Formats: sequence, C-alpha cells, structure tokens
Amino acid sequence: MQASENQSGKPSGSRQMPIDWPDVGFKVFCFVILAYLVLPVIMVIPTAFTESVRITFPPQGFSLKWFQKFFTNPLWLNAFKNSLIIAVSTCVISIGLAIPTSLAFRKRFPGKFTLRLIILMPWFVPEILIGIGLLMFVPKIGLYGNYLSVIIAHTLWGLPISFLIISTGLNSVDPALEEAAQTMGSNSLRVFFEVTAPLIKNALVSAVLFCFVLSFNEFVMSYFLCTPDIMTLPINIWSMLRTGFSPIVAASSTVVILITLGELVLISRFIGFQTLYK
Amino acid sequence: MLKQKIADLLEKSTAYNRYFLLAPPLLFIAAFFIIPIFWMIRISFYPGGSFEYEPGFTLQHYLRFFLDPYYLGTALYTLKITMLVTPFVIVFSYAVSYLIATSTGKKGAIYLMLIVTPLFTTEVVRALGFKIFLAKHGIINTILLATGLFDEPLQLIYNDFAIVVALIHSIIPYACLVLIGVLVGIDKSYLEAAKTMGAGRIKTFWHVTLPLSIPGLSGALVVSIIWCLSIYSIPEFLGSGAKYTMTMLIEEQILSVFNWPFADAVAAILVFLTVVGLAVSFKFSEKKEFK
Amino acid sequence: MTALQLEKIDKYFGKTKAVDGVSLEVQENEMFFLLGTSGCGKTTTLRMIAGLEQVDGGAIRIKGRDVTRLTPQKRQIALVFQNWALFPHKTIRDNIGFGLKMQKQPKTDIDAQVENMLQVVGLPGFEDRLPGQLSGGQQQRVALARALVLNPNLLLLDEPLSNLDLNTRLRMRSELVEVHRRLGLTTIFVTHDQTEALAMADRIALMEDGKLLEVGTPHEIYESPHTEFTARFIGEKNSLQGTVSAVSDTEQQVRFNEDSYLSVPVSSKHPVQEGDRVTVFINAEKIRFFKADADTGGDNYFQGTVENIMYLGTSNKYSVKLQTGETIVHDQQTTQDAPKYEKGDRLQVHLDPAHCICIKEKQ
Repeated sequence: MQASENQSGKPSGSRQMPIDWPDVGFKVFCFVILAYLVLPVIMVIPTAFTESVRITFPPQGFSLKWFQKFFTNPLWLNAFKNSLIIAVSTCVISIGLAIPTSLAFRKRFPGKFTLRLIILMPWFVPEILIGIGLLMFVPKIGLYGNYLSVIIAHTLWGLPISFLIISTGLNSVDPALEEAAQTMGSNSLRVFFEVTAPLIKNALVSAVLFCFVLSFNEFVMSYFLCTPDIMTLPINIWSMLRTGFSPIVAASSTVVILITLGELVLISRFIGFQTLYK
Repeated sequence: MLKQKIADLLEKSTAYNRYFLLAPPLLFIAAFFIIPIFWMIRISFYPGGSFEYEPGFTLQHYLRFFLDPYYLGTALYTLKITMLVTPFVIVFSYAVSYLIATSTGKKGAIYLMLIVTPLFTTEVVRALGFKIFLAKHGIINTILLATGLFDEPLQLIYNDFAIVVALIHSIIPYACLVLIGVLVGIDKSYLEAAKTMGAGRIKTFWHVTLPLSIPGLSGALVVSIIWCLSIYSIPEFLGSGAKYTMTMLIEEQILSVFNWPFADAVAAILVFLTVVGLAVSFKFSEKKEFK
Repeated sequence: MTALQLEKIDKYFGKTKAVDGVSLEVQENEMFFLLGTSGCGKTTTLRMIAGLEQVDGGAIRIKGRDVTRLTPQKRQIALVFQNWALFPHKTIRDNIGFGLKMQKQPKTDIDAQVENMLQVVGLPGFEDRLPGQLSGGQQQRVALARALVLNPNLLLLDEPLSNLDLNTRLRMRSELVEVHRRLGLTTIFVTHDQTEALAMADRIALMEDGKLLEVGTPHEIYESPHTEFTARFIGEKNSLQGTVSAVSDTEQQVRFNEDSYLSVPVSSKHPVQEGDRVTVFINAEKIRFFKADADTGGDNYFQGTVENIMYLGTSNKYSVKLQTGETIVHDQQTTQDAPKYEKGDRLQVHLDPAHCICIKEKQ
C-alpha cells in the first residue's frame, strides 16, 4: 500500500513537468553574470577584424590587415617573442621546483603545514606587492633589465600553482607502485621517470599549461620589472592603449586571448579546473 | 667515489631526502619573495625622499600618509571602491558558484571554463574589452541609442562606475573558486535529510546550505577585499585619473616621483592589510586546510 | 642454511612501537607465514625485510649477508603487494620485464624470460595486455611472475590473496603451493587469514602487538599452542576457567565448582601448581556428545542442555550450556550417522583430556 501511494505521488518522467519559475529565474540570473564575465573578453575579438583605423563597434568591414601589421611590426614581434621566452622559462623553472616539492610533501613530517603555507604564500599576496618588492631587490643582485627578473616574478606564481596541481596528481598514485619498482632494482630517479611521471602525466602537462597561461598574461609584476628590451605583450598592449585606440591593440589582444583560450581548453581536457578550488 | 657516496646517502635517509627535495623551492621563495618583501618594509622606515634615501629609522612616511588629507584620501577612495564592489561580488559569485556546484558533468565543466577564462586573461585585455563596451560609441551606448530611449551617449567610462563594473568582473572568479570549493564540499545527505523532514527548497537553502557555506562566504569576502585593495590596473585604465587609489599612488611614487621609502610605506600598509585578511580567512578555513 | 635471519628488530612509528624485538630464522626453501590481526606489525616486519621501512634497532641478514642498511633495490628480494601494484601504464610484458630492464639485460633476453614466466603462471600470450584488462586472479599471477622472474633470494608476499573472491582465492592457494614446491623459493607470506596459513605454511610465526608470540608448524600451532593468545586466536576453541586442585606426576585436576572437575594430562609446555587459576582450551570439533542417559561414567563427562543450533552447511554448530554454568560450542559434521539433537535437549558432553590445553592465567 505504502509503496504504491508513494509511486503515484511522484511526478513520472513522461508527464509534462510544470515550469519551475524560481529555478528558471535563478538560472537566467546566473547566465547574465556568466555573460558579464565572458563578453568583455570575447567581444575584443571581432573588433580586431575592422577595416577602419580606430576600434569601433560594430566593426566596419572585414580585414586581416591589423593582424598582418601585428606580425610584421618588429616592436610587436619582439614583445611576442619576449612573452614566449619568459613564459617557457617560467614553465621550466616552476615545474622543476614544483616536482621535488610535491614529492617531499607526500609524507607527513614536522612543520609540513607551515612549509606548505610558505610555498603557497606568493599565490595569495597581491602581485603589486611582489612587483615592488622585486623592483627594489632585483638591482641589488644585478638582474634588473634581465629576462630573469620577470621569470623569477612569474615563477613565484607558477611554483605554487604547479605544486597544487602536481600534488593532486600524486595523491592518486599508489605508493605501492613506486615501492614495487624499488624492490625490483630502481633507484629514486628511475622510479620517478619509469613509474611516477607516466602516472601523473596529465597533472604535469596541466601544470605546464597553467604556468604558461599565467606568465603569458601577467601584467602588474612585469610592468614594474620590464625595461624596454624585455617588454612583454601585455605591457606593449597597455602602452599602446594609453596613447590611442588603434585596432592593432585589438589584434594583439586577440592573439593573447586565442592562445589563452586554446590552453584553457587543453587544460580542461587534461585535468579540468577542479584543482583550483579543491 | 664521492658521487656514489652522495647517491647512497640520498637513497638511505628519507628525512635527508626530504630536505634535499625541499631546499630549492624554499630557497627560491626565501630569496625572491620573503627577503624582497622584508627589504621593502625596511626601506619604508628609511629617512629620505625622491631619488634619495639612507639607512635609518623614521616613521615620517607613515605619518605623511596618515596626516596628509590628499594621501589619506587615496585610502578612503580605495575603501569606497571596496565597499561598492564587495556586495556585488559576494552575491554574484555565490549565485554562480551555487550553479556550478549543483551542475554535473559537462555543464559544470563549461560553466567553470567561463569563469576561469577572464581569470587567466590579462587585465590589459579585459580593460580593452570594457573600453569597447563602455566607450562613448561603445557597445552599450550604441544599443541604448538604437532603442531610442536616449538621445545622447551616456558617460559610462573614466569614472567610478567603470572602475566598479570592471573590478566586480575581475574579482568574481577569485571569489567563485573559494565558494565552489566549500559548496561542493557540503554533504548532499544534509540536504536530503532536510528534505525528508519536510523542508522546501528555499527553506533547505536558508537553513542548511547557507549556514554551511559561511566559511566560503567569509573566505570570498576576504578575497574580495584583498583584491579591491590591491588591483592596480583597472582604476588606472578606466578611472577618471583625478582620483587615486592606494595602488595608483604607489605606482606614481615609484615610477614618476621616485620617492621609494614613501611608496614602500604605502605598500607596507597594504602588506599589513593583506596579512590580516589572510590570517582571518585561514582562521575560518583552518579545519579544511588541516585535512 | 638460514635464508633469512631477523635479530631483535624494532620499529617505531612516532612513539608507538610497531615492531618490538622480533627475532626469527627462516630456512632455505621454506614457506614461512607471518600471521596476526591487522596492526600486529606483520606487514611492517615484511616491509623492513624488503627495505621499504628502516629498522630502528636490530639486524636483518639475508643468506648470511647483513642487509640492514641496504636499500630495497640492493637486497635481491621480490615483493608481491596486497593490491599487486602492477604498473597500470605498462603492458604485462613491461611489468614482468621491469626488474630485468633495471638490471640492464638485453631486450631479447627479457622477452624470452617474460614469455617463459607467463608459461609458468599459466598466462601465455598475455604479453601485450594492460593490467586493467585482466581479472583479479590473472593480475595476481602477473604480480607473482613479476616477482619470480628476478629469481630473488626471498619472495615476500603481503596478503596477496585477500583481494580475490573466495573461489579464486582457494584456487590460487594451491597454485602458489605448487609453484613454491616446483621452484623451491624461500617465501615469507603475510596474512591475517589463519586457514590460509594453516593450509599452506611449512611454519607459522604468530604476531601480536608488535611481538613475536610463537613459531611452529601448523600442527603445533593448532594442536598445542604455547600462549593463551594463540589458543584463543587459532581455530575455534572453547575456554573454561577453573582452579588446579590436585597435581600428580601424570595428571592434574582442574576444578570448576564443588562437583565438577576435569582431569588433564600434565604438559611440560604449561607447568602448573596447585591453586593456580587456569584456562582450559579445547577445539570446538574435538568435543563429543553422548545421549543424556548413556552409561558413560568416568571423568570429563558433563551434563548440558542444547541452547542453540546454527546450520553452517558442512557442520552444525551447537551451543550447549553445561551444568557448571559455562557455555561451550561444538562443531558437528553433518554426516549421516551423527545423532541429531534439538534445542532444549539434555545431553552429555565429553571433553577428551588428550585435546585439552591447560594454560595458567596471567597474574
């Protein structure tokens, strides 16, 4: 009796469901916010294809001339090259530091919580403070105007994020697998390359992508540390934006957006963004 | 021989191994994060002014900041912007986080993607995006004029409105990441328990979900305030240029006026506020962190 | 020759002593079992033998060589893990050949040995599969092959069968014994499952609380345990508490109350004196039932009433309340000729003194 009553009380899947107005209202509200988040970034792209000499909306005509200018102008190309050099170096150093860190943090040891906090700290501290701190400090060690100064700044972000991602990856690796390799005659280095690294491949790739995206888009720290020789793409966009509203700014921004979006899509393929809030 | 000895030592002691592994990252952070920040705080106590300062101890830069109405005004202006931005950030990010935490599979992943896209796109490009939207002949004004409701384009940019709109946009993703983590962590059985006890959807939310997400809300609040205090580029790009935030003051003092001790004093105040904020948020999320 | 010698090894985890002064010797070609409840220190002991944990005191010798401070890769041992720890990203060939590759053997040699080993464990042609595509029993065999191919001085098995379903587990037991008999490899087998240990072991070491309680053949451990813990842990034993009322050269009398007592032969293992509090253990299947009115006479017969009967398939488990007030259990095989009793029936219970173990209680 009880069971049959319950069943008839439930709305069955095939029957028409009444529209759930509060739910619809909530979803609309959320979608408006999501649009607000994404549109200011996305709407830059169409303006880069304009034919006119100023950024307008809607864009007038369709042309690739601003992209052509971007890829032929030595100033922009140099900034692009600088950004790539800095981003790739940031990836290498960040991952190189994050792998041993994550390996050490797998086991319990005294002071683990505090050390973890220290390693994650730069991720929580506003970049303007890191930028100024390094601006004062970097000339003392002779690195002002050197790529290294910016790479160091970006690695202060790259290390914590790679550490978080690789640690999450390592959590899912059964220590018995590594111990098995040990008993079969591997030393620590071989254990890592034969067993651990292949098992956390996705995390490693994602960490690299994250570091690249962070470095490639970083503005404030670079702004304080960049000299004209090592100007990055965001810095160049910014200085052009100050002086005018030329579509070449939109074209270079589009390049940045597309590279960023491409990497984010790759990351979501590999591990997704759950590590950012877990 | 020596190489073999070192290798043996490494293989033997796990404790030794650990410190060997941890030394490079800790040295890196000490050298390029902790020392520079302390260095900066130390300079803020050095006597001197533009282009010149010498070792010593003085509070003159702090006194200058707090006693000069113009400089104190930057703090008040920053505070005003923070208070305008934060409520919107909290409400908007809570809604979106709730949507993401309750969405499953592909949908959730797509929403998350929409959130991280502005997070990782450089603020310079986002500022350009807002210029395209808010400019005199930008997207918003074009639409408004087309509707016929307005005869003249509105002044939407180079004012506080533009700063607030763009700041909310910049901070929502950070707040969301804090909130989603907490909302996802809420045990579904609590919600089901509330439902079996006859609570409707809104009552369940009010009596169960919301109280359980307080750690996330306080975290989001701290994140929001820290970022409002410290974002430099948005006010610089979209503001009127007449009113300065603390970050703009720091930038001006460093790169134009070259009064480094004073700039460092203002930065040290920001460091202090950040540390207080982080301490508060860690206090709230302590349990979660220890897990 | 001694294949493995442990000399008073200790291990601390923080302040708790996980392994406490364990000493033992394992002979060449022996199938040696470490048996105990979870947390008794048996796995930690095994991991110390493998070199995966450092000893905090004592010494470990494998074939006479002191390996106490050696890393796992230098001990020439092979360990099969509880979950088998097959590399999920490597094929069966690469899994089995991993150790040979570490020894830098040429690829053709490795392939030949892998093929041979897969024959031994009965999985020919599985070289190119991934571990995830194999059943539990097959993975277990690959793990075994991966260990055997290294021709180790010691084969260490850490609960290798506990992740298998009952039928596969029983089959793997006999296969393991068969492989061990054929290859004659010194094997240390860790388990919490006493039937596994009794069925497979040459000798069993029983551990509790980090200490080694006793070592013996399955028969010794089952029939004449040294310690009270062993007596309680192994098999299903009844325990009756009483006081020694008389001791002669050959017999001792254990009195339960005014008018019931038990005569037990004196045991050199468990010397007692008059007045000692003792516990008498007897295995559940060693008890015999007689009809209440049967003319039995003599010692060690007790009146009782059937309180409960549990049907277990191969046997019936009777709970009988004795006149002494204690309840004993008896496993009776469900064969044709065994007399049936119903709940509430009165009967006589015979406790055969030859099977009674009388152990003095700890003060």
